Amino acid sequence: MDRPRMTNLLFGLAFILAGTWVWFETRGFPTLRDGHPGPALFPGLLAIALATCGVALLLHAVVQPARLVAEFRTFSLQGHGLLRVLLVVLLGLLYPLFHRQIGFVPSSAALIFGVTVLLRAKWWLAAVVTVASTWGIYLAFTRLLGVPL
Amino acid sequence: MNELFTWQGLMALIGGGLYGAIFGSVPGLTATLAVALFIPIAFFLDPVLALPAIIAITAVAIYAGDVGSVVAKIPGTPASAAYVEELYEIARRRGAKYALGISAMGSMVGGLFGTVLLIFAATTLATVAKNFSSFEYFWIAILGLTAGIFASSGSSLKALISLLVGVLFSTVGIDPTLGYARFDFDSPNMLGGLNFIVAMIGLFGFSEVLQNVFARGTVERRRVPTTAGSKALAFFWEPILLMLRNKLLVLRSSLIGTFVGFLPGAGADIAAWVASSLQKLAGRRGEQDEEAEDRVVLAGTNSNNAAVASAWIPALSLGLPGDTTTAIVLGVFIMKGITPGPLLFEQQPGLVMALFGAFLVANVVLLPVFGFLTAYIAAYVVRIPVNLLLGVIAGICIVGAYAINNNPFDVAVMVLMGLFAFVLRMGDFPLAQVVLGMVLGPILEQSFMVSAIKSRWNLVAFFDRPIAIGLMLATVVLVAAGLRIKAQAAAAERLARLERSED
Amino acid sequence: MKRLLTMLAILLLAAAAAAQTFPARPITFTVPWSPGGGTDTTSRTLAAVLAQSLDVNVNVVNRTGGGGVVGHLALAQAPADGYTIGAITVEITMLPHIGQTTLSYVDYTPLGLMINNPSAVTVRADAPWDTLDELLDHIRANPGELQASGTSLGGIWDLARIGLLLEADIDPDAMPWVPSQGAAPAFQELLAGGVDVVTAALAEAASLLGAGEVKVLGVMAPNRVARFPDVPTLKELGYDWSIGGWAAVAAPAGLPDDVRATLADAIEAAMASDEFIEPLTAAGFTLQPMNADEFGTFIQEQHEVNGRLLEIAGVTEE
Repeated sequence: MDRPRMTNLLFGLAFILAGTWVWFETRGFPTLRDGHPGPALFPGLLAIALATCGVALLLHAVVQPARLVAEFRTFSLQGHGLLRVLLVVLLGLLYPLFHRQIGFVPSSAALIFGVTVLLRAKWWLAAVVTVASTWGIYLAFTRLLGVPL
Repeated sequence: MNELFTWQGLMALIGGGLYGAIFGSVPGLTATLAVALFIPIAFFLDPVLALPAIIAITAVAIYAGDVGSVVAKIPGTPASAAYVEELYEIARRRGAKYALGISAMGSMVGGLFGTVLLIFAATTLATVAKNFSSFEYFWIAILGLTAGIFASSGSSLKALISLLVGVLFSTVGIDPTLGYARFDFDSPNMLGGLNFIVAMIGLFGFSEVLQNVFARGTVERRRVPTTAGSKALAFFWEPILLMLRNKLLVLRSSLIGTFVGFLPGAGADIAAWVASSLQKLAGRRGEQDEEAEDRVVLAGTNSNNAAVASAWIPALSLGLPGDTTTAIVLGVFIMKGITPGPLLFEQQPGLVMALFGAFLVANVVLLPVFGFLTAYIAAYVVRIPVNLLLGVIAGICIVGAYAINNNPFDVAVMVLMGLFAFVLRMGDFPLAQVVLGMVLGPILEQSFMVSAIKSRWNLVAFFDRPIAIGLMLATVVLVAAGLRIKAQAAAAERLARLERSED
Repeated sequence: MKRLLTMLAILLLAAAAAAQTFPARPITFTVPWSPGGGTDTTSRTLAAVLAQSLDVNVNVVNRTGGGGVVGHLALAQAPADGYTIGAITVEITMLPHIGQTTLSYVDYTPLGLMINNPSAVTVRADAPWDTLDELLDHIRANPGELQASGTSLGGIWDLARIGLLLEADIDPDAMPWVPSQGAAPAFQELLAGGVDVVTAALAEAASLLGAGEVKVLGVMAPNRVARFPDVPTLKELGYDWSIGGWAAVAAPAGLPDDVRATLADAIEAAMASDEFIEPLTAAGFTLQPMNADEFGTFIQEQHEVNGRLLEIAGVTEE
């Protein structure tokens, strides 16, 4: 099976699963006092719609004529690329998870340095950019714009 | 009017414009926040100075929302998200100055159009605004969502899925009927729902970083075109020529902006989506030419600045705040003992003239001047090598997400949204529709539930008010036109393939 | 070694001295709502006056989200040393009853009440009722015909409706509630004819009242509001009922007594100053200054009254 078809198949399955999960989640929501559906109505309808679209995507992937495949921007899934993405996500989560312990400056410096180095900047250039931009952002937001970091 | 042309008046306008340009350009800082932080100063200023400053802030900040789109594909407002792909593409092809030129000059004309209607038809338009109840809001939200489905250049099914996901995100938190906490995972941070600006920074900004980190090396090097001829020409003159070539488009988009603009909270956003989506449909129908993208951006930017002026109509003539900015403006009125309403125009002619004058100056003078200034800076910023620029953008995404609520939790939401967008991109799902869903979702649910409760679940009520019926018909027409044009385009493509295979 | 000891001793002394003269460093003032709102404006005004009298910076920080829960939680969890104080609002006496948080008034050291914006009975300018009694008679004669709005179900203005109807011996279901996202959308519905009565704050109705679009039949306050001398109170009309959306200053529970005394005195003095009263009165807020002890009693009463009303509204957790 070619990659675009596979992608659609997987996304179709994922949306069917997500829709089903939301649907069962909404069954636990209370109704209005007069018995009409309240909080559950909207997410419930959306869950059905999402799952239906998932099915459509799935069918589309199965019956899709091969010549439509060209529409896709294809990605090559090398393992290292995904590892790098994961690393940047973890660096991004440093601040929300450990802001009490390490604060803004070190966590954002780590992210900026990580991203620039992963994008093949020379390490000393990455270091210069990191220091300058962290300092610049920090000053601009705390002093100029009054955002307490 | 005279008060406005003292040196204090001009300082207020220029200061407001500069302040708005900064707030609009930085992801995470919004026009609303800019105005809110200005209140303590507004307390002490004469309203003839304070209100023009507020007008200058909003007019320039809404335009500056496009600066992020040009530099890093991060739209500053949900309205900018409607045409971010096109704007970024134009900037890549013809340079930041021309791209932002379309945006600034388009905003200027849209803003002027809205202002003229505000001056001459405020009281008439106010009677229309007065009749907007939850039924009308429901249909307007549906219209906006429909525009979102057909605005996509790829598969409509995928656009629909992106929209549904966005609307589903918007149901997180306290529900509008019973105050029941949905999908909150017992975290107080989730009670208020997911902030769409935080999501937008992640979906566009952080996902761009992830995308590049993932595919490093294979990502195309960004070539900055050196625009032929004078740079000022690219910013000022060429967009004006573009508008002159597309007069009807400008008129249509500005009208849409003015008439959708009263909707509290999302007027400008819906206007930009409907206008640019119409233009995309129209563009798909005719021959593809070089300017197709330019016209889409023009439609969006025209309509969203027209909406900025029309949001003031209910505030000035009814005393009803259309959005946070006008709510603050009404606060300034009350503080200074000024009564809004039809009588405002008779009792405070000086103030009203100063307001109108400020709108005119903000659109005709401030937008081009600060627009050129930001475009000038942006043109330098895009020359920074991509790998260094993306590092800085990652840092700005973090502070931008944090700055909205001063809540570290939002930074986590931003990062995870970035990851989610990275995954969606692999399947070729559009991202702007997720934002549109998050913006319109609450309006849709709220207006539907309120209408249902109000009419005691008699759903016929959705179809028996004149404006509601008009909006419903507009939606039907849009769906019909959209389906037809999509089908035609698909048929044309099949034919082209067939011919190619026969060769 | 000797020198080191001397230095240590000096440091300790300095620390002890600092501990005695509270406050020795900037104070953080948390606000659970976004910039530009009533709570924010009031807090910023108070913070500016406090900064002068205490001679340290008082930094206002908006901690928004979660329908106010995030900011209230942040204050309750801050160290109880007086260097973090903040605004708490009427929601803290409501949220615990509907099970959205385990926080309640006992998690705070009350320091003073700032503003209390009373609810008002607002109808369209062309409505057939000119007095509150005419409106109430209509509701009594036609139960279920009229609908009211102003905020979410079980929100503060919904409680205002329930309290009013109970006081008039009418079943609260005789004028059911249509939920809305705040006062402005509710007023939009009122003008468009979607609902008949809005019970949001009088201050929120001010600009519409000025524009001649609505009329106010009565205000749910103990005394007439200075800016609207023509609007009668419910008490004058024979209904003993008052309710408002209030904002107060508090610190985390367990504040040391001396720090509490310093802050409470400074806040009481600040709320009596012209720098506090003038701009806020001009902005249309109803000031109802209470000192720390009065406010302590008030918040406890509020907790009980609102709990009862929320049960009637039907939104309490089973």
